Amino acid sequence: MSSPSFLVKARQHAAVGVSLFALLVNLGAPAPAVAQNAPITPIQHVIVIIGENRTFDHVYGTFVPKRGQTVSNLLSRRIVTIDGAPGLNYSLSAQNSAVDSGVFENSPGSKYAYTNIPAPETSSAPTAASDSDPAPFVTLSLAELAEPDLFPTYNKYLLTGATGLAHDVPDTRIPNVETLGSGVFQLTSSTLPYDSYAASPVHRFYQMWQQTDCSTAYATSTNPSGCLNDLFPWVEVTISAGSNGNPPPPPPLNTGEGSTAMAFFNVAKGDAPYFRQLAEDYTISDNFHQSVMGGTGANHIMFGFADAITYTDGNGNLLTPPTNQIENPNPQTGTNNYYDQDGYSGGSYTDCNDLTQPGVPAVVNYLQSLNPPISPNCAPNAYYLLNNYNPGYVGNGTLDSQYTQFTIPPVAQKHIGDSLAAAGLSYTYFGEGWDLYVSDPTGADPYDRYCSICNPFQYATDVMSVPSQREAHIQDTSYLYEDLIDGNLPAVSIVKPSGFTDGHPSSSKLDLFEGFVKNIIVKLQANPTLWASTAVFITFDEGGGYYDSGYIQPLDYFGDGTRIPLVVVSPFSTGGIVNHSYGDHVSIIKFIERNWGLPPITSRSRDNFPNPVASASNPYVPTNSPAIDDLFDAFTFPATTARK
Amino acid sequence: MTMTIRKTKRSITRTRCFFFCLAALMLASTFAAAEDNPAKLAGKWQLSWEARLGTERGTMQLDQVGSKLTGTFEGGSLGSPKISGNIECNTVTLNIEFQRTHPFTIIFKGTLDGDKMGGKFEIQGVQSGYDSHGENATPSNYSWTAVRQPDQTQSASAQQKQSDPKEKLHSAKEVGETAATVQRRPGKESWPAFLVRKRWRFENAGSNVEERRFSTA
Repeated sequence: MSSPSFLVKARQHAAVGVSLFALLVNLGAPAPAVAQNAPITPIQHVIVIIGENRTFDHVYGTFVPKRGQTVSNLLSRRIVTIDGAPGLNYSLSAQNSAVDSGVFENSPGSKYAYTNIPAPETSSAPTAASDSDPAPFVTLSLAELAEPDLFPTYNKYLLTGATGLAHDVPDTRIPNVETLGSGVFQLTSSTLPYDSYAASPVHRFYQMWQQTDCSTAYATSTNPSGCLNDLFPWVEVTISAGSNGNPPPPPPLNTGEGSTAMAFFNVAKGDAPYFRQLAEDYTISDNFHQSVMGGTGANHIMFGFADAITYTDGNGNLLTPPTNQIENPNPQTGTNNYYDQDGYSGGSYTDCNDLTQPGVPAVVNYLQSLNPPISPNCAPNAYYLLNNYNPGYVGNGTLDSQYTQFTIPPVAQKHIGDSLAAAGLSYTYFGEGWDLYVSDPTGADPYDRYCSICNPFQYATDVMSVPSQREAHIQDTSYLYEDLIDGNLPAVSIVKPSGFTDGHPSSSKLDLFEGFVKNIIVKLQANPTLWASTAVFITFDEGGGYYDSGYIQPLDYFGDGTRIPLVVVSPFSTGGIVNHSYGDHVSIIKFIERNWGLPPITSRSRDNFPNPVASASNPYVPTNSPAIDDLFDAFTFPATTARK
Repeated sequence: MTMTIRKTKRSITRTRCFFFCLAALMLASTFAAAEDNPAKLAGKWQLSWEARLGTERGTMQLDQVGSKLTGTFEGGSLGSPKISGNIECNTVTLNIEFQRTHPFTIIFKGTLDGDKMGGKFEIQGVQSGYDSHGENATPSNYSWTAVRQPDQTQSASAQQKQSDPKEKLHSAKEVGETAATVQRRPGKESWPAFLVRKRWRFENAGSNVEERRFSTA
């Protein structure tokens, strides 16, 4: 072990010790011997790798499972053929325009089917390679210096894939871009290869509620939540990423993305080859979901807290946020669905217990109309963060509010790290670029691509305000690679790539995320002892606003949202199995809790939900809703192991 | 009579010509002087700009030779990058070269307005500005501002200059003291008002108000 690594590990163990000591002092209990909770399976280490912004159908829409396995995707539902062309049931993906009624609706009326969806555009995807404005880079040596976390054979993809087109114009690399029909289309072709940058669809909270178009009026026995997923382009072209409280620009409105949401890769024809290989060799889920409607921040928060987080005074006391930071998705007068207050610089909190608040009646009334009704799980006078605001702390433990007003105050809510620490278990969030970010809290350095909003522990006071805790629980990915070699891996590792390699459309590519994942899997498998006791969950934060045809189960006010990929890689999840149990990000928390005998994080967190019960004829829809799986059924453990 | 009229007309023409030439000369000398005496930016400035995740702040220490600017920037943990730039009339350009793992340069362009300057910035070679990652807000208008700060070094220099009566007069004028009540520090002798006015005229030959303001240390 290198010296820095030794010091980090020492700090890690010291931090766990300090946590336990503090806990016991607070409880006033005598100090028993510190004991770690032992796992009930052979899994002693969990690694969660979280990419960015791809739905299940977007990645695995044409995946063909091994004989004996079934999958629900675009191909199996005959929405497309294996060549990516429209299939017999293509109309199942057909999209509509709509007209707002003057207030926000999550299922707007006056729908009208598109003959051809609006032309997909380029958004802000990079026009050309540039060493000063990467990625893509021009110089390989510089690219490898800036991005050291790829499996080496993937480094070349850091130089390729620029659009050659201006921003916010129709993406003419897509054949017949103006006449794509009414539904999904294959993104890739000879003129737009898999290794290409392309636009990013909108993926925000109220936008996604509208895009999924959920109403009990549409409910059926196989789709009891009544989500039609038929308004994706309409929301893209009417509001996209929000108004920030500003009036709409002069017409015609061009959000720069068109119908980007309807694109899918053809994994059967060579796209996403590493993800295809993983799916053929290990276990995937075709019923795993983003846990919150919308985007990155709220979904990573749900992964850490199994709950949404609230606006407070920084000490846990609820407060009302500034007016311009409260969501108002009601349409501005004279517009069709151009939200009043929503955006990255305004409008991200909602008091969803108050039916007089904009946007709230539509969602709450829908939840209450379901059978059985679903509780919004919104506490009185609590403003929940629904979209991306900076975490309360920057890397050195000082407050982020010194740099920007769009920051959620420090959070005192319990998170999965607290549960692990209380049980004597180590955990670390490995964020690529963390070390650079610590010295650059405002992101002034254009090469700083660390994702601050992705780190759930960066919102938490008990981690960020104590240096030893910070150093133990948040590290750069370089330490992960050392751990994989020396076998000194924490019980739970959460791994986040940088903006270069996270797979986020527009700013990254899916092949770069494949290279990031492969780098970890290969290193893990090179350590046989570690490999024998480790489970890797590879997933995404959310679907990025891409269309998906899967079932959505409403769990509370915040989600679930569309399906996302989940690949479970371990010696106990081999054979190309497709798991159909309903799950979301919190399912991984449930796995950790069950494996190590941990209680739910709080009395209201989602990890209290039971495992789903479903009929044999429709394994995708829980009959005991709300319910989410703990993923034990994605493994085949030895018979002596405690089973589900 | 006719002769008288002609003489008078000739005289008027000469007079017009004289004043025209005088005006032209004054105008030319004004521009020439303005070029020779660009606004004084030397000193300490608090700089801020809207970066990807929030507002970055730091202190610039500028030195000036003619229209050329050099200096250093101290801000947070971004190191101490060098500054180069220039001032033309009231148009400022500052290049800050950040020597980090991956060097980058931010170019600040703007105008001077009293003790403040501001405008737009760009990252050299990065047309689209900070990468939003699709998730964070990017700066709304890539704006920057800088405000002149009290500078200990400059203050010391100013104190030294105050031993010179002329410098004393100048700095006193800048802080709004009337010429008639100007006091020498530390000797506290009064300076005659006419000397103050003379100094004022001397200083203002070919320079504008903004330059006068910045001529103080």
